[in-house]
Amino acid sequence: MLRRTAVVGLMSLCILSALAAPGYSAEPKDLKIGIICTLSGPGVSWGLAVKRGAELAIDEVNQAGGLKVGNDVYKITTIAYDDQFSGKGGVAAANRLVFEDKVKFIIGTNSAASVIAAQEVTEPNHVIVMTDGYGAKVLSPNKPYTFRVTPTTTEFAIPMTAWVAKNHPNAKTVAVVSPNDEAGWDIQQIVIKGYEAAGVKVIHHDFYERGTKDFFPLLTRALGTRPDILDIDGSNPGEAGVLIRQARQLGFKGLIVKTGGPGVEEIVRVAGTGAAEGFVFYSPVSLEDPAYKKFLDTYEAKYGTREADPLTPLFYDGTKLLLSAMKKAGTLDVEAVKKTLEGIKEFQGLFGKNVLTGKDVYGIAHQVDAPFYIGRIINGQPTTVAKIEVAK
Amino acid sequence: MLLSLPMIMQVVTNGLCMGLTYVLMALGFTVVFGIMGVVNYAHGEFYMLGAFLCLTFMTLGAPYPLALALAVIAVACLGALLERYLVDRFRSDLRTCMIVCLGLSTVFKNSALVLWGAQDRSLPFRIDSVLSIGSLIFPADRLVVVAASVALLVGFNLFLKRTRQGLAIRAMAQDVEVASAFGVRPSSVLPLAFAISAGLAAVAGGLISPVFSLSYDMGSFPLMKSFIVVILGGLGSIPGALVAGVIIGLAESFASTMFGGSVSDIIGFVITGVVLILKPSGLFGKSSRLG
Repeated sequence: MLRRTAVVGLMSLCILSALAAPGYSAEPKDLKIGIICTLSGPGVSWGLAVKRGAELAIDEVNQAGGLKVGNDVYKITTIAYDDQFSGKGGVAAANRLVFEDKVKFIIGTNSAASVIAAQEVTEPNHVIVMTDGYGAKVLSPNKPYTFRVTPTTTEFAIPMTAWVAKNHPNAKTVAVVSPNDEAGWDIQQIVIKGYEAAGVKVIHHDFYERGTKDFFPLLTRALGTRPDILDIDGSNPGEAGVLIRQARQLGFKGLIVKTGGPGVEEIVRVAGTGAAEGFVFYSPVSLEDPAYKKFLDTYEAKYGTREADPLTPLFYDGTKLLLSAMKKAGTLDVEAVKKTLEGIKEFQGLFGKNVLTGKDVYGIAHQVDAPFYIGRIINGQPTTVAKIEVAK
Repeated sequence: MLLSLPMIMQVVTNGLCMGLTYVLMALGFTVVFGIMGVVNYAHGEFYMLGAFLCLTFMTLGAPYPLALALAVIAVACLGALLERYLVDRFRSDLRTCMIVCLGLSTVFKNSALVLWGAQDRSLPFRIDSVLSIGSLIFPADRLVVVAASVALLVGFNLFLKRTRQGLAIRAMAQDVEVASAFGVRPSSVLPLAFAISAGLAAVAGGLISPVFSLSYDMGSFPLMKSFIVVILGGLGSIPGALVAGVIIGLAESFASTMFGGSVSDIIGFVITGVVLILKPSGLFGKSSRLG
């Protein structure tokens, strides 16, 4: 009896010692990750892409037992704030996350104005931000804690315009119309550079105000120059649909191209299949890709719909990139995670090889470049016609 | 930028079409603003609800004309109920009433976001044909809006001038107390006016949405245009709304074609500002009289 008691006691002591020893944590710790995204006003669709992309990546890690960082295991929770697609909203959300919730890692946002304002809080406080804000000013050597997880026009305009020129050799001239805001100015500049590099002459370029419903005056002016191509990059899906429809109503028979920006189903719905026929578009996803189909299954299981904004997989990949850097760094120390992120030159995303690039353009290699697809509306259906891999 | 003659003709055509579209958007706003002095910030949301309810009824299988009629009836009823049980309580205090309407606008907008989602939608009804006369192009869908706008304008004017209800509304617009003393019941006339206003906004939304697209925040554009048209035309004046709508449409079309969209967005405010300095009651304004 005494011997049996001694054995049980010894075993209990061993178990207790093992649990108390460094290298094992019985209870998962809590890791809070902030999300800033647009949940009201224009841009909600993109905002949901940020939130849901991050949530799906985090769910995956939590369901696998949590995130192992060094000797600890973390259960990840998210705190999301609405930036209302504005600078004011972005800085308010960043203030709450950094000073009240004490987060050190933020996913989002989807608005350039919002992220530029939020950086006034996140950069001095050394908070890592994985964003989507378009615009050249989002990334710079002065903003070392910001990473952009979505490729921008800078990354895909050159290969896309080159593809358009190569596959439409009779198209010699282009008119480019873009929204009149910071993103639109940057996008138009890059798109023009792309067409010029591809040997297509830019004969007209113009801007319109966001929220414009009647594009007839703008298009009367643009189409009066008789371009072979009308490029409508920078427009959101609703605007793009109306632009296509009204251009066709004004008798334009040439090629309509959108060098960037997702949402083709919505564009076709608004434009009508007749007007949209032949429309060439950029897409970060391909419905024909099995990996995307699988992703949409998971999306549907959680959110009850397959209508995911095409930016969602990019935020899923971006969040996984951040989590893998934490794991690899073995610590949640921001400087160590940042250094690890900077050391990841390439990684496998949902659709293939992604790279961290941007040193030449932004002065800092904090830009994710991912494969993308070129689609065309054929018989009323969005059809993938090319996949463009990231440059080596 | 110099415009060629065919281009000028097209610009005039564009301007007239858009101007009459603005008139359609502003017609309902004129009623409530002119008769009740209520600055109805939710007017744009009635327009949005008209479009989305039309979409919903079509999704349920109704053909476009029936879906439009059902949407208009639903929104008109909603307008009457809101006036009777909410707006009426605050109508004596203009500022409170404005805030109530602003609140309603937010409630409707966010409800639409929850119900119909954030993505732009389109009606499964489209008139794709284009009428060409020489080098001039008239998209058929816009001609439908123009025709509806003119028909509603004439019909509404006749309603106000030739019917007992119209007379009652005009009497209330002139003096609520005197009209009440003569047997006009505010409790039935004011909800009727609000219902007509909401219904007209819904007609506009349902008719214009096949031309543009639907989004939960689509109401802010017609609200802004309605303000400009109604103030420029003169509070409560229907001929004023017609003239103002056409002026704004043409001015925007020329400004946008010659100088770009940014200039066209401010041109309406500039014209309205100048007219108000010269004639504070607007082009056809006679204090707050309707008709």
